[in-house]
Amino acid sequence: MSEAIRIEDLVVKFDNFTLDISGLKVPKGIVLGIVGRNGAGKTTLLDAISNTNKDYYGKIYIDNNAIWEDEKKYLKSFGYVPDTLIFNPALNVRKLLEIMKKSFLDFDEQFFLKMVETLELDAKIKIGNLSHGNQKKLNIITIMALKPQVLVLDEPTEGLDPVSKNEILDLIQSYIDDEKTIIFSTHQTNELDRISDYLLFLEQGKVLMFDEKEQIVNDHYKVVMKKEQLTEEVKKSLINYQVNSFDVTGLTIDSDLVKEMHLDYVKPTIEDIMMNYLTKRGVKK
Amino acid sequence: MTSKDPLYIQIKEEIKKKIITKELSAESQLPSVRVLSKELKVGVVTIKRAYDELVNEGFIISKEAIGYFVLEISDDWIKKIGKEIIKEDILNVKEKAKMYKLSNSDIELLLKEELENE
Repeated sequence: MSEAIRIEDLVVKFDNFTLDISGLKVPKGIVLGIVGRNGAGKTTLLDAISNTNKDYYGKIYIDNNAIWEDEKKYLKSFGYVPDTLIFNPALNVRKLLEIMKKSFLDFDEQFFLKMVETLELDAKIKIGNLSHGNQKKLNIITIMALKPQVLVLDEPTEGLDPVSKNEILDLIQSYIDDEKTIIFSTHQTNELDRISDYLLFLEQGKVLMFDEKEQIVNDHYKVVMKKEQLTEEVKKSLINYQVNSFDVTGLTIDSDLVKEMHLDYVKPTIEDIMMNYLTKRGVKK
Repeated sequence: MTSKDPLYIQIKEEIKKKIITKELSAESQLPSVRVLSKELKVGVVTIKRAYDELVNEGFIISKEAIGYFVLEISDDWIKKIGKEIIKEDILNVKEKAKMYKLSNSDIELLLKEELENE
C-alpha cells in the first residue's frame, strides 16, 4: 500500500521535552486520529510534518515526497488547518474567495461556494465576526478547496456545539477517498473516534500505540471481577484497575486471563483505553 | 447488540440479520465500503472488516473491482445458525436460573408455557 505519510527516526528536541518517533507509516485513504493529553507531543508532531518547525532530526515523507527533494511538491500535497483563524478577520467570505482564486490557480471555487451554502456561512460579514464554529468550518473548507492529498486538522471539533461537530464529521467523511487522507489531533476522546480508521496514541513524546482502531478495541477487554480475584498475579496481567465498593474493574489485553477466570467483560471505548493507560503510573505510586 | 462487541461486529451482525431475513436478497449488491462508512458515520476500515468477516463466513462474496454481493443461503444453514444462537441464549438462561434458584423443571415448565402461548 502506498503511504500518505512516512516518518523515519524523527526526533524533535526542546529544553524539557523530546518527541521521538522511530517509524510510522500512515496508509492512504484513511482517517487517522492522533490522541493524547495536552503536552503529549501532538502539536510538536504536526508542526514537524507541516514544516512549521524545521528544527528536527529524521525524515518525513508526504505522499512519497520528501521536503529536501522537492519542497513545492511536498507542501502542495499537504494541507494544515490549525485550531485558530488562519485568515485576515477583516475580510469577508467573498473577499477571501477572490484572494484564494488569485493566489492558487487550482482553488476549487465550486466546492468552496457549495460548502459556504451548505454550511450557511454568511458571505457578507467580516470573518472576524463569524462565530467560533463558523470560523473553524471556514478554515476547513478553504483548505479543502485546495485539494491536498493529506489534510491535517488540529482539534477540529474543539469547543463546538453538537450540530457543528456533526457538520465537521460530514466534511471529513466526504473529503476522504482512496487517495486522500485526513489526520486530526484531539485531546478529547469523542465522536471523532467513531469515524477514525487508525489511532495514534502519543504519551510523553513517544508512541504508546499505533494501529487500526478496531484492532485496538478488539485487543482490549474491560473486565469486572470480585475483590478476592485480584491477586498479585492477576494484577500483573492488568494494564490498570480500579477498586470500588462492590468489585474491581480493569483493562487487559490478556485473553487467556479472561477465559481462564471466566471474567465478565465488555469492549472498552477509546476513552476507557486512554484513561487506563494514562493513569497507570498514578495507581502504581 | 451489546457493547460487548466492537463496532465492526455490530455492523456485521446487523447485515447478517438482513441476509437471513431476506431483507437483502441473494445476488443483491451491498453498498460500497465508502458509501456505507459515510452513511453510518464510521471509519472505512470498520466497514471493510465487517465485509471481510461476512465473506469469510460465507454470507457475501467480493467481486474484484465491482463490489460485494449477497450469497444464496439455504434454509438448513439458517437453521444451523439459529441453533447456535439459541444455544447461547439457553446458556444464559441456565446461568440466570442458577442465580434465582430455579430448577430444571421450573425452566422446562416456563418454556412450555411460552411456546404454547403463541
